[in-house]
Amino acid sequence: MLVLFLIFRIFPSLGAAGMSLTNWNIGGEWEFTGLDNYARMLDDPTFWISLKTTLVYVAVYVPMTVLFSLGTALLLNAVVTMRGLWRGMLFLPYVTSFVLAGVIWRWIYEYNGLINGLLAKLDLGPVMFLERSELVLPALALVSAWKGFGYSMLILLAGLKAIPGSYLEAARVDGASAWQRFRSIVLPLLKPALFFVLVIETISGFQVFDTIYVMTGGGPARASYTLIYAIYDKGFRGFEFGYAAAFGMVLFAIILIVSLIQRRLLGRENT
Amino acid sequence: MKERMAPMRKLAAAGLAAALGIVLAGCGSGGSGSGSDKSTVTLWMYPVIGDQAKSQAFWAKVEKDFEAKNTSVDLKIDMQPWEGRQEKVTTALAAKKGFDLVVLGPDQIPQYAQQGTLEPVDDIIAAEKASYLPNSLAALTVDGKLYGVPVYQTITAPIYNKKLFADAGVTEIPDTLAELKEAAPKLAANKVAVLDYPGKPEVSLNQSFYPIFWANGGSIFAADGKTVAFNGPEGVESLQFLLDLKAAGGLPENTASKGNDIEGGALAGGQSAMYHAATALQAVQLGKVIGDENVGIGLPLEGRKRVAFGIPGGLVMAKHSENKEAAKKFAAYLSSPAVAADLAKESGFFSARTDVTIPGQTPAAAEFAKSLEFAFPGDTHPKARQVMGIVAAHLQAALLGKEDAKTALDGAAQEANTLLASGG
Repeated sequence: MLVLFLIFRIFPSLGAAGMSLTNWNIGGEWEFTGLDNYARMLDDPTFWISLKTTLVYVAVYVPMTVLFSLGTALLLNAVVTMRGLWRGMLFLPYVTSFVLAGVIWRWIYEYNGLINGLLAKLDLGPVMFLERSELVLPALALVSAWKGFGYSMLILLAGLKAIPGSYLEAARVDGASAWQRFRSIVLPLLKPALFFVLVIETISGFQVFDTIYVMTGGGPARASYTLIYAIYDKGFRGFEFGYAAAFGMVLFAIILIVSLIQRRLLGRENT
Repeated sequence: MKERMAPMRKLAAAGLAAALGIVLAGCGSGGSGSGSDKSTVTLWMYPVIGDQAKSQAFWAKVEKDFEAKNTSVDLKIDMQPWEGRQEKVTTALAAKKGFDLVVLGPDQIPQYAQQGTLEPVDDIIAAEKASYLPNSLAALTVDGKLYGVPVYQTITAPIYNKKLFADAGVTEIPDTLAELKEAAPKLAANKVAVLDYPGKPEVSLNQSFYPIFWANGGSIFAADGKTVAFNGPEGVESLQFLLDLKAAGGLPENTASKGNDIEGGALAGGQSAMYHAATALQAVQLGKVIGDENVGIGLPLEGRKRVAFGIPGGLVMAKHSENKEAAKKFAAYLSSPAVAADLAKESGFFSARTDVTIPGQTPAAAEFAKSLEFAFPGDTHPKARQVMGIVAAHLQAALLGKEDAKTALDGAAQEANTLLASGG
């Protein structure tokens, strides 16, 4: 296990850190350039655009996914018949190919797509979801949330199942409303699972690529140009692998810091 | 230094694979010998023949015929999709695996050649050099060395829906950029966009903005290649032309994000009337939807001159190939007159050779062939693709009304010049 972790995680990370200090090209030639890539990055407007876009995306995606997962988990927990069927249906998007989901949702959002077709019947629209800078990130976040909420839903559902029914029953006998039971019993006992979901969804938000690659290509006018997309753009389109690796290291640092903060909070909650 | 670099290179290669987080695809088949006495040559081919059944039959025959004549070579033709071509080729060259030969366009070759990953192929065509279109060879030449054997030549031309122009009372189909602008309000009155302009960043600017820019006499790069020149008067004029068209209802509503697919697109749906840089295959696709009799094929729209984007398909050899001699044999075979003629016939493209007669050419193909004399392979430069990505983002901003023509192109030029100066 340790060997696999070293080969597939640690060595590549160290390799990327090393590469970010070079001008490595696809022919394997490189020169040590020190911190030049990082200095250039700080002067590069596309870096700041990608950083801002990523943070906005995460700020939209994470609450959306967590609320979506929590809502469906609560519904599933309340359902008494055909639980397996509902659970399977809600989990289905998670096992769908990201590219396929992107293609379908692109069609749904398009000018001549499903949503605008329905809006036209109501004499509304069209709404250019993928052309308007203020709409594109929520639109993409919704696709990712739809695609990814199933996993978090199952974790939260497991958390809900672990809450002893006697607590809820006692509260009900004492006259607590559904909202009071949720707020005072369910939510506090669900916190460890919620924090875990928060951590994995935050990391997932920072790593968004497929949806953007398939649906917008970073557009419109770089409104969905995230850090991961910038890494792809600089590396695989620009052949500046050293420079792309510098972007990668920034993303690595951000995810590390966010995860450590969340871990600290989670640890505190568990004690 | 070399010895010290080797482990670092391996480490760096591993880092590239994981750190960039991109799925590395298409590297399954190696180009080296397979343990038998035969030399294995792997070709990455693309669906230049649109009909899948015809494509499979053609390449199966090529493989069989070549192997029959060259019993010591095991040829593997690996059909790849157009999508993600650059990423896969880059990954394969970086990993020194995947293919011995691949078909690339002239704007892709300089960057790979500059990075030392390709093998010059001058010797393959040396004996028959005079039989090739000089423009085709020039387009595939970098620093005096030929890096691609031209196996076909493409051309683009305007295609249009005759009926939509007639319905709007436009009897003369626009032949110049000025006439196109003049026709825009007349078609807009019928809720038809005169130009099906694809502003989606993934669509190559060679099939959207650049042909208009070239027709206006523009050049993407300065003569020395060290800076860009697209933000000059020709560039601003070209972008302003598009913005004026948009204001006159001459571009589709979603022009900034639409692609150039015919099937399911505005042109096939009768919402737009003309696409200025279509391929022959797209003309066929349009004919299937609106009827061949309604499809018109014109000459490249004239600005200060007529320019049609047209490129040779260059059969390129990887430097890492372990069977270069066998690969050269196949490159010579695929570019031979008989095979080139068959490929041109099946693909609807044209031959890059002057000594080839294409059997049974369709009337549509003959119309496209008229634009061959205006063929231009694009501004070849090692950073052409990267610069295109930068320009596309700013063009999209202009089409969305976020930037005016001058601001958009100046912004793109500033970014592009920084990229060129970085030398990365």
